[in-house]
Amino acid sequence: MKRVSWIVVGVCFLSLFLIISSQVYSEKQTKSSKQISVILYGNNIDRWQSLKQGMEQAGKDYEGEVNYVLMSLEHDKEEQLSLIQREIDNHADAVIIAANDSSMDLSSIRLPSKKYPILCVESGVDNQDIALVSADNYKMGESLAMEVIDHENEIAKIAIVMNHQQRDSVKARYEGFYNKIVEKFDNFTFWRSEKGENRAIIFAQRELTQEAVDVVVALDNSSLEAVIDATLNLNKNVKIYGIANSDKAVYYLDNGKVKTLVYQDEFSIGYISVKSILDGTTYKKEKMSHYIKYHVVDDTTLYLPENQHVLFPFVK
Amino acid sequence: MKDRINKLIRRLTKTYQRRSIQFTISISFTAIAIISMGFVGLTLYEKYIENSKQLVTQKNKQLIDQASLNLNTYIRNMMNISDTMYYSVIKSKDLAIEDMDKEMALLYEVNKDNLISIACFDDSGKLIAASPVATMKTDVSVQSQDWFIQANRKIENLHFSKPHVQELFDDSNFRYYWVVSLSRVVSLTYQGNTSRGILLVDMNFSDIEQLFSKVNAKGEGYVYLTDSEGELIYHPRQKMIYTNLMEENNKTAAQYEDGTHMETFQKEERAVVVKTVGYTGWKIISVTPIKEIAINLNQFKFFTVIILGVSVIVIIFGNILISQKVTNPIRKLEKSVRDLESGNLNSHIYTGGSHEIQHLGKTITSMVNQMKYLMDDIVKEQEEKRKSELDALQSQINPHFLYNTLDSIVWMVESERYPEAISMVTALASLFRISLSKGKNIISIKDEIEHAKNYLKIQKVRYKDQFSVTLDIDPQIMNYSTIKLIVQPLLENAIYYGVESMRDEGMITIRGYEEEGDIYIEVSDNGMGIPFEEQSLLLTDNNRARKRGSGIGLINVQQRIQLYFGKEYGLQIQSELDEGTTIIIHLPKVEYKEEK
Repeated sequence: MKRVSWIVVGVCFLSLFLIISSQVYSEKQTKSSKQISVILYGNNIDRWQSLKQGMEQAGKDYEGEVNYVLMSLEHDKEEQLSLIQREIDNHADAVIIAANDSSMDLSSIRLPSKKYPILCVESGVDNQDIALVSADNYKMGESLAMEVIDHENEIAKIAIVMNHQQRDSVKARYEGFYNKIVEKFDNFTFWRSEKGENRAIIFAQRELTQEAVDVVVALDNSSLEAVIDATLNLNKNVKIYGIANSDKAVYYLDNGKVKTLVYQDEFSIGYISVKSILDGTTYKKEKMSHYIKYHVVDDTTLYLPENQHVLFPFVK
Repeated sequence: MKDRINKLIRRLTKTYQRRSIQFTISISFTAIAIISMGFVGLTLYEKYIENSKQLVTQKNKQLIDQASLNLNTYIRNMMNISDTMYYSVIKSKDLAIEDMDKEMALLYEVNKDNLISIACFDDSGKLIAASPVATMKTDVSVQSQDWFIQANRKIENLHFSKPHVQELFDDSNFRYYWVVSLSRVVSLTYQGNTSRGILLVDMNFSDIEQLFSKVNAKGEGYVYLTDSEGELIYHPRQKMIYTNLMEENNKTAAQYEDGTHMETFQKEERAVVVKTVGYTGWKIISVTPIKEIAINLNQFKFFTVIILGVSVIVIIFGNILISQKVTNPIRKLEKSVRDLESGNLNSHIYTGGSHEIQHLGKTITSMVNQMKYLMDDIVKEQEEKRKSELDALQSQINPHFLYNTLDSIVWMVESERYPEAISMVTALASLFRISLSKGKNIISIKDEIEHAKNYLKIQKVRYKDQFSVTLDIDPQIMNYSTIKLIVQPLLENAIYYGVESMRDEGMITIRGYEEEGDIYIEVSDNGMGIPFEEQSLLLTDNNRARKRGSGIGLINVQQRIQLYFGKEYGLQIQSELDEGTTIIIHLPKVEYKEEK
């Protein structure tokens, strides 16, 4: 080969090497963080404080950016669906939802690809392909029932708030609770919101006024808060048990208005959900309870370190 | 496997050896350069990592010092608040007469950015004063609170608690604060009597968190804070540790002395720097996973690889160019030699390049010239040889000689001299047998003399015994080699020019002997002799064709002897007019071996 040809080949080879190197380097430099949109049911983000802290920690650890999308209405399946579509259309790399209604049809969503990551937290959807990060809701219900069984007389009349049964989490809690509670009790009443009762407190007050009960069991934050508010408004003395972790629920547990709370570790839910999207870790459904734990707390155990650590977020 | 590797190595070595000099130079230089660069690169990289580790540790030490300074300042502020409250307010007041709310509120207002609350309790846990003003929770057992117990346990000290959620005061906004409680035993005065009380300053935990967040934003790895027992006070992933999403080696690290330590936690090697905070006994612990340093070195690694890659490419091409420069003259010279090999002796021999190659080229050129000269000589010699052999062959079939001999035989038969005729035919047959000698040029002296005898026998018959022949051959020389048909032409000359025209009987003498390691054969006649001026021409002038006889002159015999045995051998002429002539054949002493 002539010397000129050698030089030409050398220069080409060198240029190619430098181009590839600079490409690889610039790819490294410009590797942008993933955008994750989180669409949680309810129109008050404060209730999700622990979950948010967990998500943000995972976002920091795995280089992702978490954006929270608030719903304008408290519970609206259609709005949540449209928000999911909007976020996907706005180029979110993944969507995490806390499903307001587990029956919502996600097949109507236009996905950019078949493997587009959608994940549920706290409350899932009826779709085997979409994973749910949550504690075992059925067992949480059972544990709550055990607390009632341990502390209440068998002749007590128990009101079970049946709101939000459209969420599989609440439904599973109810099933767990009911299947356990019937082992000791047989006097139940089931409270439900009626048409036109847009605010939960209204139905709670109506039920409390209409029917005398010894124990009220609420299986989600908003129902429990409604029951607390209603009892305070009506100055009713009922024993309240619930599955919740809101500041208000904890506060009334602390001052004795609420007897017992069962709560799940929402920090871990937030952390694991974002981590699994960002680093691709798959958490098996049957092992989820190993990662996400729930706890039972009453006014005597509220300030034990293990409960303080999980229940109270660091407020800056 | 081992065999395969050996086989592969052998094959590679063989391939390497078979390759051209340019390939060998390029590959060898490139391999050496790459190995050297790799070695140097690796050494520098290791050194760089070591330095980076030291730098990171140094940096973390500085950060820890900074954090320690800030934390000390913060703690001292809190202690100052407690001291001020105690020494300036509580100690100076008789609580039976006056309260301390105003002073406490003032102190709180001044420091409220860092405080959640200031409160004073009596020995039974009853609240005496608190700021901000708040309702104390009814069911709180103050005496069972950790800060209360610890303060009472060491009454002369200030006690710092672990972070915890404050549970003393009711906040209708459902807010709960994470605090670090600074508690101490105070002396309360009631109507001149003193009793024990507890002063509690609840420090906002988020201040400590912010203080460390700033530190953590700067360095590699992270910094956390424990109490002297290793219980976490602050950790950037505190919530994760609380919820068991991760673990920290805090209990062990708290046992380390102040300084830098290397530890392996959860299979991860980490550099840990520990510093104890004054008074509290808290430990600030900086952790830098070695892996993280390595990750930060990736950019350096990447550039190192690029630089090495570029250098390797440059070296490869540099080597190719240099080896081309070095080997091009060799290749050109090799091409010239190949041309020579193919038989083209006139091809141009390359004499360029470095002086060594020039020298080689010139030497080969000179060798080729020498070779050409020698080859020309050989060709010339061969041609002469062929010519003289042809001449000799011609002598074998001299038609006159044959015709005369046959005529003599016919005459003998007609005159019924059968025994003579038989003898003649036998001599003729023997003459021809030796002449042919199976095509050989070298025969024994014995055969050559036999040939001469046969010739003389025939000639004597023809010349009717006009001459006599004397043979004096040393039997010792009979088995040495000679060129065939060198005596007969001398005899022929002796007969034709020596004795034929003599009136008296002619005499021909043949002598054979060995002298000084050589063989000599002399043919003498007593004829008229050869004039002196002609003698030298007889052996040099090729154009002096003979008029009679076989036509083969002395020069032919001379040439044939010299072609075979060299210039030092040949003929000598000794002649005197009217006295006779002697021709001496000088031959080397070479033993004759019959070819089978």
